[in-house]
Amino acid sequence: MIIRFNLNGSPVEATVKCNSTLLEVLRGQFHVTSPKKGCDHGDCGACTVLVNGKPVNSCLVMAPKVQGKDVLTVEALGEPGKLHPLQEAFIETGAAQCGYCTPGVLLSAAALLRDNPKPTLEEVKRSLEGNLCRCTGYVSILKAVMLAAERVGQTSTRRSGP
Amino acid sequence: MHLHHMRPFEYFQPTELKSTLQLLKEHRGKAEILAGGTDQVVLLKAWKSQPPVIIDIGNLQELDFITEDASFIRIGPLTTHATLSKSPLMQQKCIALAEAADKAGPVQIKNLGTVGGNIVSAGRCADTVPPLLCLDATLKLMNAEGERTVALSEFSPKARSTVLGNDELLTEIKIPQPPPNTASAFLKLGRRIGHDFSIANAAAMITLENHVCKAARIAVGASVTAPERIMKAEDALLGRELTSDNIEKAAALAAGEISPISDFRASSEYRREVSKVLVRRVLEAVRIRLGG
Repeated sequence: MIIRFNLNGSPVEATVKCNSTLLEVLRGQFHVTSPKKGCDHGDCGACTVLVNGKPVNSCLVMAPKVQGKDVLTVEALGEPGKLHPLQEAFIETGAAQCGYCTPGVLLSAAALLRDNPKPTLEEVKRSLEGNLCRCTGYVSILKAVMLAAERVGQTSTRRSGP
Repeated sequence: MHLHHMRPFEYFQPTELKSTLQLLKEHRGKAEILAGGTDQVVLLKAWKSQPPVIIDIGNLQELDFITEDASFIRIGPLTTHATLSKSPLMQQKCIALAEAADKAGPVQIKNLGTVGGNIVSAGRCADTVPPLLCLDATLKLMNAEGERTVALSEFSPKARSTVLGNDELLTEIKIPQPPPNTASAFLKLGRRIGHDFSIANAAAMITLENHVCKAARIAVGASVTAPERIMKAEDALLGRELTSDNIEKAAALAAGEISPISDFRASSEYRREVSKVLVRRVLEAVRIRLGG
């Protein structure tokens, strides 16, 4: 079937098999490879994307379900030379090691800061419960999110994004 | 778990209830309903579910609601755990249900998973079921011919098995308005709260009148083959004050009554012990909420 949706701000369309997931379509057909196939059953969060602004496991979303919806991946968060405060903070604190979990973590964190610009550490932890990381031990990730929250709170002009 | 590419199927995305029920009638016995997919898609990938037909009800906006009138609170089956946990009405009147939804999984799962799916998938660990049992929830089941109402307590005689007909759809969860002086609470034990399936969970709801329990509901899940109310523990509180002593007794009774299971997450002995603690803690939380 043909699906039409918005991918990172642009209208797109694709012919998909009904039994494919959003993750497979993003990676295989659109070559958006930032969401990763980690566990493929909704536990690790490496496949996290934002659908209509909400973090979801794209490995659990059947492709036809995104008809008419907005899908955002980390490519839309920022780009070289124009990084999102979260991405800058991640670099500073060393919150990315192998980088496999990173796209998912960034999107979960971006959604949190959009809805809750001044989260407590506990709130940050809860928002990242669905994103597993095997490398960092999470401390640098949490530091990065708190640092980004502080900075975003300080600037008056907000970057456009999710 | 071995995951495969999903088997092929016919896929429908009806936009209204009437056509959904028609589809169910046409394809009865061959169709599976897809809501959030947090359970169903995993089963499809593991080839534990191989339906020729999938009916994706995600576009049925009319099934996504939380409303109330003088007598009842009504919840649509497509209400996600995220919506349920953040709902002011749930937090005010059915806090055990809001708490269960909040702990049902991490953010991503809560944005997809629905309370209807939680009930119909009838897993042992469905966190919203014990609070709904305490709230005396009834379910509206519809098919192309009409509708019927089934008490939640009678919906799933054993885990992963329900009385839902193969042409029926759950369309509403109905809860009687909790009377004044009523409070509820929910707790779950898992290796990572909000992420893992529960090892054990417990919910309780108490109505006080003249300082004694006029109504008492205690339900446990996850530790047992299917979520259940523990009548013996409830009876031990009826007509009595909600003191720490009485709570302790009720918790011990509840733990004695259940037949916990052993699996890779925990042994039955461990589950029995922690169920006692969870029941005690939810009752204590209720006591504090009632101003005790």
